[in-house]
Parts: sequence; structure tokens; C-alpha cells
Amino acid sequence: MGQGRAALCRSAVPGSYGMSCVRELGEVGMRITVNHGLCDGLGQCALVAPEVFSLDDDERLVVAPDPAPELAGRVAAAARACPVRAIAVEGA
Amino acid sequence: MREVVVVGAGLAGVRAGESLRARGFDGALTVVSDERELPYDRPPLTKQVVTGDLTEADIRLAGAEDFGARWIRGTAAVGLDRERRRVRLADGAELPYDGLVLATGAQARAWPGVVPASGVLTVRGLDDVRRLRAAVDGGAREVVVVGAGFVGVELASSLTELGLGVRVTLVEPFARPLRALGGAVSGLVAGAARRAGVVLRLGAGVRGFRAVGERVGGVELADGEVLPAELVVVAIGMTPATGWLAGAGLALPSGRIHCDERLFARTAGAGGEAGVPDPRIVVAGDVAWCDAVRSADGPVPLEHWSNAAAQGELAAGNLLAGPAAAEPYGHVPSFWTSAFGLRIRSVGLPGTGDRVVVEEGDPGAEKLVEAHYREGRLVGAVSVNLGRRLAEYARRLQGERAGEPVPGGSAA
Ligand SMILES: Cc1cc2nc3c(=O)[nH]c(=O)nc-3n(C[C@H](O)[C@H](O)[C@H](O)COP(=O)(O)OP(=O)(O)OC[C@H]3O[C@@H](n4cnc5c(N)ncnc54)[C@H](O)[C@@H]3O)c2cc1C
Ligand code: SF4
Repeated sequence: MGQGRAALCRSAVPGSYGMSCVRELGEVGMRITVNHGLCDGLGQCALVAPEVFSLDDDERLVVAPDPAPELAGRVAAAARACPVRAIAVEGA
Repeated sequence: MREVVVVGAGLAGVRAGESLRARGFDGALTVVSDERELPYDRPPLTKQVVTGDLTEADIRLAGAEDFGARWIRGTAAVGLDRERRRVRLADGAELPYDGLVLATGAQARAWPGVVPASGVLTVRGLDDVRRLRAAVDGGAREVVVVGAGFVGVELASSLTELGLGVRVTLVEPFARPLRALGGAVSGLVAGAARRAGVVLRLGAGVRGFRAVGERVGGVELADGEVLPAELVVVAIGMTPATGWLAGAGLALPSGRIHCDERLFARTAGAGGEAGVPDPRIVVAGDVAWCDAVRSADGPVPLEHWSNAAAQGELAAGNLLAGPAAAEPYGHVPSFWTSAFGLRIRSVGLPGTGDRVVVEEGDPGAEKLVEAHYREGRLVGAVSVNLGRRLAEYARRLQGERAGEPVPGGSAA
């Protein structure tokens, strides 16, 4: 999905964009990878973990730069809520 | 609990299976499906699968093969004996259970009259979309879609997007497409559909079909006009797949399985009322009529992807936990659809409001957020190309619910 939509990632480095972005929840050893090529901006993840996932004005996904470790459970739930499985979590 | 049977391998059934294992269930798990296909996702069927942007392999439900279940495919469950705790299958086999997950979803509602032998389809599964594509690839260019709910509207959009010169007429007996979403959405969809070249026949009832030999040749409207058609798609809603549960002693209001707030199936009580829940049977997905999903008028059935996923997960957890430790279903409904370049999302139950307010954006620009209120209280929100703020509405809806003293109460 997501064909024809510009993939956007506001990565940890301001101004750098890419097809996927990675966030570490260091203390709990969780790694979040969002594949913006798959993401269709459906925003289901943002309903579950709005502190981490949100949409911009063009309905592109923005991932918070530095998610708090205590959000790990909700990040995992957000990944399950994504209809196109654009969010992968490891080490949850 | 040693043996769990899941009936139905759609999203709800697969999520239930995954979740049983994730919560440590290591007993025997059997999943029964009347489809031969490996489990797959339905939302892309009317969108990217029709247009060819996604293949059949792309829409397989990930994870379905991983949870160590015994799969029975291509065989329907035909009966349930709650007393003996057995599910009866079409081939005569019986599956004993300690715990049962009912996730049989729904079928497309069939046209309630006579239809020509070929050229009239409904769309619910992969097979239906294969037939649809085969008809178009075989040269059908004059297509009539009956019903402008989200399935009909998405199909009309995808067929025009194909670029094969398919002429689509969308016929809807009510005056508005996607009328369930209320507000300005219908008008925006109608405008965008017309610009894409779709002929809209709103407020037009269908009387029946004309055949040319075995094949459909036209659609006859209530006023006698006949629309030429080489292919007709009937998209008039769905029928819950509960025929096999007749006589099982479960409460089946309007054909759905009534379940309590913790997703346990309610038995048929005396006098047609829903009675006490069966502690060994949970319900999830499109087939459910859940006490926890309600408007001021009572439970509201949902036909949403996110509901099937969330109920599948919780149903499994609650089945293992048992009724006393089970959690109530607290998910805020959410839905999306897209057609003709409009990306539409909703949270809550917008169709149940009595007042709609445009709270952001502008219908003229095809970008807006509408909030739906009932007696002054937020019941849902819909966005078109502006989904950014829906998460806030979802949070507000969650709050309204948490603060709700009596279900159905009319706090202002
Ligand atoms: C074409 C289409 C497009 C959609 N688009 C969207 C969308 O854009 N957004 C959205 O939110 N939702 C959408 N939905 C809705 C969403 O797909 C459903 O809510 C979801 O599929 C429900 O899952 P389920 O597991 O409850 O039911 P189903 O997916 O229907 O699965 C039930 C399974 O049980 C099987 N079964 C039935 N009876 C028996 C029996 N007696 N024995 C054995 N097996 C049986 C069925 O064959 C089926 O495989 C769409 C649905 C369709 C059909
Ligand atoms: S739910 Fe999935 S598709 Fe939707 S915005 Fe989130 S990551 Fe993207």
C-alpha cells in the first residue's frame, strides 16, 4: 500500500528523510522500525499510542524522536493495530 | 483449558489464535474455516486487489501460520452442541472443546430476488474479486454497482481507476452515498465520483435484472428504466454467518451473536431475551453484537477491521481468564475507507448522532473534520483527507465512556 504517496520519515537527524525510520526504547531494549513505503497513513497506530505516532497535515506518519520506555506496551499494541503491518517492534 | 476451537479464520479468528498462544495457552488449538484459502485481509480486496496494486500474496494475514494450530480448511462448521461441548463439521466430524471462539464473520447479502445465471456478483472474498477481474479482463465495460455503501463506492472507484474504459453506474436507493457516515461526506463522495466519470443514480430503487440468455443484460429500476449492464455487482450489505448456530441456544438478534461486555456469548433466555453468558464461548468480529459497543439506543453492530482485530485479541484473553477475571471491551470504534482520492476515516459511532459540526477544514477543499454529537455529547468524528486530529477525538470518546455512569444514559 502507499503507492503514489510520498514516504516521509522525520528521523532523529532533523531534516533527513527516508523510507524507514528506527527508534530505540533504550532502557527496555525495544526497537521500533516503521516502513514508510508500506504505511498508508491510516492513523490506526495514532489512536493506540498517540504519544509516539501521529499524522501530519498531509496524513503522513510522524514518529516521535525519543519515545519513553514506559510506552513499550502501547507501541506493541499500535504495531498490532496497523492494518498494513508497517510497524515492526523487536525486543518487546 | 486443554482444547480450544476457533471457528472462522478471518482477521478475528486469526488474532484470537495468535493471542491464545501469546498468552501462554499450550493446549490443542484447532482453527476451522469454510474457505480453502490461507487467511487473508479483506480491506484491500475492493481497493488495491481490484486495481492490481496488490497481489493475492500481498494480502495474506501475516502470522496465521505461526501459532501451532491444527487447521481445517474448506470445511464449514454446521452445528454446535453446547451441552456436550462439540462443534459439528460438514463432513460429519465432531470437535470437542473446552473453549470456543466464534468468529465466522459475515457473507455478502445476496440479492433478494431472481438473478441471471451469470454476470451478477457480490464481493466479500478473494474468489469474488477474481471473478470480478475475470469479467472485466474478459471485456465487460458496462458495469452497474448496486448499493453505495463503502464496498460499492470503493469498487466504483477502483473500476474507474483501472483505466480500461470501464463505465460504472452506481445505483443507490437512498439519496446519499456512504450515508452511514453522515454530514458532508456523502456530498463530497458524490462530487468526486461524478468527476471520475461515474454515473450516479441516487434515490433509484432496483426492481430486478434483465437477462440476455444466461447472462445479465441490464438492471431494471423501480421506475421501469433499464440500465444496460454486462456486469452487475450487488453491494447491499452483509448477512452474519450464523445460520449454522440455529438451535444452539444462543441469542442471535438480527442474526448476530449477542455477547456481553466481556465478549462471552449470551444464551437465548426465556421470552426471546438474551440470557446468561456461556463461560466457554467467546465471540469476535463482524459476527458479534456486543453489549460494550453501544449508542444511546442500545448495542450497535460493527463491520470494521480494527474491531475484528481488537475483539479477536480480547476474546482469546478473556476465554483463558474466565468470566470472573475477564476484561470489558473498551475499544473506541475506528474505520477507514478511501475512494476517488478521498481518504475517509472515522472514530466512534458517527451515524448515531443528532448534530454534525464541521470543526476543521472546509468541504470545498475536500479536507475536513466533522464531529457528531448526540444531545450535546460527542459520539463520533469523521475526517476527509485530514486524519491528523482523529486521535484527539478518540481520546475524548474514551473519556466520555469512562465517565459514563449508566450505559445509554443521556448526560449532556
Ligand atoms: C471488501 C471489503 C472491504 C473492506 N474494507 C474495509 C476498510 O476499508 N476498513 C475497515 O475498517 N474495514 C473494512 N472491511 C471490514 C473488515 O474487513 C471486516 O470487519 C473484517 O474482515 C471482519 O473480520 P472477521 O474475522 O470478523 O470476519 P471475516 O473476515 O468475514 O472472517 C470470517 C471467516 O469465517 C468463515 N466462516 C463463516 N462461516 C463459517 C462456518 N460455518 N464454518 C467455518 N468457517 C466459517 C468465513 O468464510 C470467513 O473466512 C472490509 C470488508 C470487506 C468485505
Ligand atoms: S496504522 Fe500503519 S498505515 Fe496507519 S499510519 Fe500507522 S503505521 Fe501507517
